Amino acid sequence: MSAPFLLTYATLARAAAIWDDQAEVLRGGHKRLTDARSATGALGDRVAPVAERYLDTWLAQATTLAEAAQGRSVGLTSFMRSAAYFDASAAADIRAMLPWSERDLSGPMGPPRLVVPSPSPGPSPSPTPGPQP
Amino acid sequence: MTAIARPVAVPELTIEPGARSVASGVRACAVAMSDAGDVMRHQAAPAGFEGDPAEIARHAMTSTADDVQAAVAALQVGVAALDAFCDETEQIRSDRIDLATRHGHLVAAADDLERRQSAAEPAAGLDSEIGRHNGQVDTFATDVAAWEQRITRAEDRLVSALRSADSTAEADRLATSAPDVPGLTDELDRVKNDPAAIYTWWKGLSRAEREALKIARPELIGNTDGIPIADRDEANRAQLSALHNTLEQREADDELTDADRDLKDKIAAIHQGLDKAADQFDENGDPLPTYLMVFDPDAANGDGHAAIAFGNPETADHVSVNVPGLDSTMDTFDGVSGDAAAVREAASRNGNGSVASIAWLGYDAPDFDASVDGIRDGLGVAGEGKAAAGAKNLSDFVDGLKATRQGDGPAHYTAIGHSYGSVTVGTAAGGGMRVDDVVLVGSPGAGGKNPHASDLHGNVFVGSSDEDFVTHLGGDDRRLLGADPAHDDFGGTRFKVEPQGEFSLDGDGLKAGIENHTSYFDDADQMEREHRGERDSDSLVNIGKVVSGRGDSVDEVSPRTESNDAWWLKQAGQSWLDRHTSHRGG
Repeated sequence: MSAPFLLTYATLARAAAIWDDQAEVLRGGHKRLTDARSATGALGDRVAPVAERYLDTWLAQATTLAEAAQGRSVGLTSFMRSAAYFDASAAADIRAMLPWSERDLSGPMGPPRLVVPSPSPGPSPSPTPGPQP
Repeated sequence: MTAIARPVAVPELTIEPGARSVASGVRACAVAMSDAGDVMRHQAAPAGFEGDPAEIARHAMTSTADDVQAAVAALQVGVAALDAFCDETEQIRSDRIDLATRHGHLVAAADDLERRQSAAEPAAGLDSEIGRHNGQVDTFATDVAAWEQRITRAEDRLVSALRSADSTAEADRLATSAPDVPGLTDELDRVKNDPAAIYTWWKGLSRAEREALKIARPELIGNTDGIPIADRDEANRAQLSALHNTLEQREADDELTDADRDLKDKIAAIHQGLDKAADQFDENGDPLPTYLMVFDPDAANGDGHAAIAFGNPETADHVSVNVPGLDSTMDTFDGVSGDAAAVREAASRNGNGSVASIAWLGYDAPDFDASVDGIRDGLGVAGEGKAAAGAKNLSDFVDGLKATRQGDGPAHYTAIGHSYGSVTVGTAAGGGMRVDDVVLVGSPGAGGKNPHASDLHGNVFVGSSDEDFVTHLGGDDRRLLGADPAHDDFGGTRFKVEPQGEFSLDGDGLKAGIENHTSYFDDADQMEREHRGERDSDSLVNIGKVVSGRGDSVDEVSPRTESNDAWWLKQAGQSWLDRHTSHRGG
């Protein structure tokens, strides 16, 4: 079981914003790659099919990474609006989505404060971590 | 009868010029992904962290940073290969034109030989002539075959490169052998501020290293003097495109911030600026190339730095740099670009060689209210500080142009400063900047250290409308921004400009004063809109003469002899008289 850790809403909000921003950047990159994909005919008959396969690979990867980033942002945002208590498994999920340096916050924090593991039975909604790349 | 050989046909080239847009798109995507990767890496487990491997593996920002870095490595391989392919096919396309020309000549020769051979009595020696012709046809066939092989080899290289990077497994492998960007950046840092050394260093890099730097550090490569213009353009356009697409995503998500909106305005102005010469052609009749030489939206306390070249300054016979003045920011850069494009067209009309004209906003121009008091007081507060900082940047920029020069011999360089930009140009030309000609228009002063034209490097030409109040701010006593370059004591060559209306301190006269200050680059289109006929302004025609190396033919006018103090006193007296008369009359 993971050690207990303290978590502020500010940390969650910052992590959600980071994931959201990166999802937008990756979708922007995807858009330019889509433009490139539409122009492969200019490379000639021999090269175009190879270029399309190459671009399709990275279009798919850009989509995967963007969707994963967006999913994590949504998951963290949803979590902030949900439970005050969560179990060790959910805590590990959350920790995995935070900036590395903020996984073990223990300094002064403003309310509300979340403490794991859950001290009492009750609903323990797991956050939605989003699809893994 | 000796058979007359016919030349083989030259195959069509199925590779189109638009192929470069594939490379541009991949590069822009790589820049965006690299940017995302940097953010993720910053939030990831530190390199060398000795903790629970399972915890590191599970940490999403760490794994995302690794995945993005691998994708970027694969995209870098693709961009480098695509770029090399485009360079090769450009040469192949050019060679096809030569082959097609030879083909035409050989067909005509064969037709002629056949006609002569079918004559009643063929000329003596015709057979040996046919033999020589047939030999040329054989050589031609060999050259066409070699040309086709070059295409095949270029295609093979690109296909091989793309196949080596078209899976995530291969990308992981490529990431371990990708160019060392931090190391290369350190190397660049060691030669910074020396454009010639930077150029030599850049040319020594491999194509893969150059592409990696353009993708990972576009803001550095795109804005470094001494990097070749095509590479700067590619880096800056990739950065521009990546930012533009991210903003579009944010707008679609209804998440634009005020800062995002500012950036969107800046990017729109750059796009409009790049289109300013869309209807111009180079000396060969091809569409005029444009280059985004500087793109730094965060510079100058958020006002931004930018530069666009119309025509290629590395090869043009004549190169001009337009330095704007008051109120110039990146979000109004389309206007500065329009001025530079107009200068290029006016200079090109003189038919004295190829011309490249650059709109340059590489300094923090002062920003005031558009009124007499606003500008006069504002200039007093701003002083020469911003011009001095800008002069250093301008000198470095011109040094960078010279360092990357590809043409036959040095170009003829002209620096053009408008308004406060003339203070910047004057200060630079009075310091280390070496240009052939200097043009100061709408100038409030040539810089406090330059009381005379001979203090500036280069021939000095001055365009100052007597009805432009800004040009009356320069003074013999060097207060404010230095001497009035239109004055006889300064010693420059003053050329004719066309006033738009009479200045006065009140009413419409004030508006005329502002128009006079902003009309030095009015071209035929602008003049037509003003119903003054289809011709460029006198000012633009004369600037074009200087830029094209024909400064000795400008339409010269007499310099000022009256002091500007006397001019302002006269304006104040007239204003008082007008008000008094109006009051008495009312």
